[in-house]
Amino acid sequence: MPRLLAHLFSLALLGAMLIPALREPPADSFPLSDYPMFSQERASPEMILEQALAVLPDGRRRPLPSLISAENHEVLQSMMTIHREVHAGSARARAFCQAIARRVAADEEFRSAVAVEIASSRFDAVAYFEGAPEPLDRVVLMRCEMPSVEAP
Amino acid sequence: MRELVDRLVWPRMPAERLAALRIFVGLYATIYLVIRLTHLYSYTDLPASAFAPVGVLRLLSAPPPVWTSRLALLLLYPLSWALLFGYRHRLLAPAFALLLLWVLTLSNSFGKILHTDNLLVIYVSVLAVSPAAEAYAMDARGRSVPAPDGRYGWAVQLMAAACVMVYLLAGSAKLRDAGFAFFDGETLRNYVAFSNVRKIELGSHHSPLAPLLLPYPRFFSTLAGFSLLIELGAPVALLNRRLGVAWAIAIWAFHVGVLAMMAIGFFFQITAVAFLPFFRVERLIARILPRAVRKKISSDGDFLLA
Repeated sequence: MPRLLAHLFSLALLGAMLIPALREPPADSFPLSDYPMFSQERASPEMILEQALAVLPDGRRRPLPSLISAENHEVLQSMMTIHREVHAGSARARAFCQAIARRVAADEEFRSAVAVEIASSRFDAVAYFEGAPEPLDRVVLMRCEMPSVEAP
Repeated sequence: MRELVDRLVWPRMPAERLAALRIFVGLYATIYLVIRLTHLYSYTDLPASAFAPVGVLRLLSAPPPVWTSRLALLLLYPLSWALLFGYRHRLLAPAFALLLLWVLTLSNSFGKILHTDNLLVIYVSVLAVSPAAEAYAMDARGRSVPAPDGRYGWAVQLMAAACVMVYLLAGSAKLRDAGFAFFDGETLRNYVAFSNVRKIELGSHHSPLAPLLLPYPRFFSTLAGFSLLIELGAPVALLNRRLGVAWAIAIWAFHVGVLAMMAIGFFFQITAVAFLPFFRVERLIARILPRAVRKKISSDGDFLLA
């Protein structure tokens, strides 16, 4: 590449990298980003999380892995999928919940579950690791029973 | 003045250094794409209702047809090998860069933008337009390695500058959004706790280290100061090689800390490939290739070590 062209390419690339941060409000995108990870002030340790839970026969709830809840390896992507599907109308939320229940039924580790719940849970994230892992409160957004298993 | 500009943006560097960067980035991309195959494949047929396009895909109102996304993913694999081995670089490396941009943008276009692959895409783009296959490459067989030149140094420096820019932007975002409150450590401590709770409550693994450190707020205050210092101080890495090396080691340690405390893996950074532009990486290539391989390839026509 000729020298002038190389310099123009450098200017274009570095300039493009700057643009997301200069926009008002700053814009996150890919691969150009303003890199907003962990930049917002978080003075309180409270957090709200929408999650998929397996309801066990003894009433305990166990969080479902992202592959079962959203068919995705990426935990953060599964969080977005849960959020999107559960707020997309009751029919879609129910279908989403039932699809999770089918995957739970097929999973050796979770197949004893009696139901699936999609819930919005509020935690104190610091207290969570100081002996208080239970949510401060939890709202069940959708619940579906496990699909009936046909006799062999 | 022109001397200073040359030293910064057009420094004479050996062709082997840029070629070594091509090999390491190409090797990383090749392995990464294999490991992430099922993950990337899962994005090729997600429902249109979930499509939240970013970057180049914002031109589309619906996800691209499934077959085009799968074809693009399939083609990435041989093209990553072409980058790694420096084969038909002028033609195939830009094709790889464009397809990589396409496939990784698609994987970020369903609601959650991750920030782990940004630098990889940028490095591959720079390598694609640079003379990165004039040494240690199939394209260079039968040719002697050219003398050190500014055009090799330009690409290496541009990758280093892009790396610095990423951290400068990340540091600036913290100051912009949290202000000096970030320094008190409370925000960082809460983020570490959030991240781990989120992992556990979404059924994944969390950091075993975080619960041990969370009772010590002062530790997070120190850590917040350190992270802002190396992010906002990133431009010093471009001033000279030693500062560059020192900064690269510091920022690598920062990522190791993020992995250890938040179980968040920026693998391009953790593997240190992202920071190789700050090192004389051609020496590493000469050391790690088995002597027999070096001798054979070299005798085949100056492919590697002429």
